[in-house]
Amino acid sequence: MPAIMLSPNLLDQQFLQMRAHCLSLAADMDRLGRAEGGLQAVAHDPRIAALGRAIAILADPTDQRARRVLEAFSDQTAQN
Amino acid sequence: MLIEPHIHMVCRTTDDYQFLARSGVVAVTEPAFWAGFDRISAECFRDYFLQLTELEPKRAAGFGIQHFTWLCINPKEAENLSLARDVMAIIPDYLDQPNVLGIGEIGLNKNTRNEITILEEQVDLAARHGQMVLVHTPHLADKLKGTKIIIDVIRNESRLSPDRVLIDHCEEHTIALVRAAGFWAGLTVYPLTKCTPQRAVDILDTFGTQRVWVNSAADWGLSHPSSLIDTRLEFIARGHSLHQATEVFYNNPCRFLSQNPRWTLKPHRNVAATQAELNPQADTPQW
Repeated sequence: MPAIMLSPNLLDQQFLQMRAHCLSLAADMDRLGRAEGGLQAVAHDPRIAALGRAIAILADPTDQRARRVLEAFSDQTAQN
Repeated sequence: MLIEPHIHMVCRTTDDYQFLARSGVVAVTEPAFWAGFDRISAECFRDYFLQLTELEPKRAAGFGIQHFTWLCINPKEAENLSLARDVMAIIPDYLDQPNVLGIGEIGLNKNTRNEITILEEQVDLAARHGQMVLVHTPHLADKLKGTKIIIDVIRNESRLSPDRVLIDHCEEHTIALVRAAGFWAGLTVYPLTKCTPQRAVDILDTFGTQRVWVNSAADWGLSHPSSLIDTRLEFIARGHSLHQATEVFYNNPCRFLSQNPRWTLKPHRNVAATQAELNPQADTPQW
């Protein structure tokens, strides 16, 4: 039952918020880079790898990005 | 009118009851949960269960709100098997209290073997006492795996009908699994770790509004009862009617909870007429 809204109108409405989210993440990465040890010190942290996978999903033109981002951050090991 | 089906009022101020009442909330349900610290004995839970079954209903009634509750040992403290079993032993003492709707919020926290053992034992407790069940799913990276384990555990209990179980804190990667297995699903609007109002409405739009409720799960953390209200506003702002909003934020919780006869609120049937009265230009029937 999605409400009907034209995508250009939705982009007009949400672009600034999307821009702000993107900028916030960029600033987060910069802050990590400026911290002692820099990005190099966390380069092998699996959370950084998960972030990389998630960012790649954002640029992927196929849909269900939210579900796929959540899966990128999920423990994929077998059940106990 | 709205129903807040998952909120931890023991952590909230009286101002929050006033806010809920002003926002049109007429009933809340409060599952037992982790208090932010591990309790030292089962006797502490007697105090907690008295708070949930005697004090909070009185606080809520002061604002015209009905208060219901669910009792259990929460998944985090379930890691302590001895404590968990001591608490499970006292739960039946409180199941006859008039505001108790069932067992909850049971589930998993870090998907450990001990947590799974106690989940199985509490599912058995619910089945033996004919209780409905409210389930907590793990946070963040543990949610997908934990939700799958929970579904398997409950489906293995043949005495428990899935439509009397609600699995809460679903997100885009778990809601389809939960409903496909026959359970009700919950969406929690909570800062950082769960859904935003926008994502919750995305999920309602994408996956449909059947067998789902929305809640704030406001507790002692960074959270607020307003997240439920904000989600309803977002839902309406996207062009959904007041009737549809009532279906999601009032009727759906009524439908699930009225499987327990202690829940006496009934779904609204004449909301479309009310809407037409409020805004006759917008939704006038064409017949």
